[in-house]
Amino acid sequence: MYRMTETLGLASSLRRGTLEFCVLALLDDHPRYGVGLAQELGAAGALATTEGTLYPLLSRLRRSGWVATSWQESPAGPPRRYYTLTRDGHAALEHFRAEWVAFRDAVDLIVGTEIR
Amino acid sequence: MTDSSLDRLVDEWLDRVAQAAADLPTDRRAELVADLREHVAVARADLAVETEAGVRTILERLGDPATIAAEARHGEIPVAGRGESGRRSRAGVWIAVGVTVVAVFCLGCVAAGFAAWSVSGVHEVVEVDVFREAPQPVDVPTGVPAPRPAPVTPGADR
Repeated sequence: MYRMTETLGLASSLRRGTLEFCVLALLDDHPRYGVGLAQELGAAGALATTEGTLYPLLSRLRRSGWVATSWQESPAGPPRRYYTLTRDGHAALEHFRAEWVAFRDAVDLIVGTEIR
Repeated sequence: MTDSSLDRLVDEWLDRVAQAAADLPTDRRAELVADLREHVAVARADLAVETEAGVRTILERLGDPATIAAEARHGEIPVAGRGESGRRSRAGVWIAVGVTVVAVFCLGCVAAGFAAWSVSGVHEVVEVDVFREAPQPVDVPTGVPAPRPAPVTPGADR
């Protein structure tokens, strides 16, 4: 029997592979700090699980050289670490965009969800 | 609740993260805890009024320490699709493996060919000349690499 937990697991797995590119796409607009990123991704329903899991992901993006960070003073509260997209990060995002369109179209065609 | 007791609430939660991430490399664990500490500090500053409920909500939204640690552990395993450079280096490895396999195969062919040649061809000269002192066995099965004939020392058999 199909259970709700399986639906949740599916949603989480589908988001997992794409979340890092959603982060890159948000940073493509303008630099953002962690709390702001978490709120926007959460509001858009793009987070695979909870806000805290965003930080291991940001750490990976930093180590692969796709994002860079810089500290900026804030009018209220402590300084904030802003994340910006690097050239490599931009290239990775463009690569993902092309792959995603091809992948999405292929899945749409097979599972019967293509827009006619 | 006072500021210091709210601080303690946060510290306890961060300790739970550190414990859940105990198997991670030290610098990775320290970075994770520092990132989360910073998140809490910024989110607390954004609260209109700092209350216990507000701080607890921040921690709840961050989530279960075990889930966060698991996500960080996931990053320790090399992840597929890690950028152009990653793809290039993986491609390089496969090319190296392919070249090695082909090279070994070619060397094997050459060795087998040489063995076959030395078994079938050289024996005609054996009696005439070189192997008077240490004749090679004539009945070496084809395909088994035969030892190369010893180099001819001029005058050795005279």
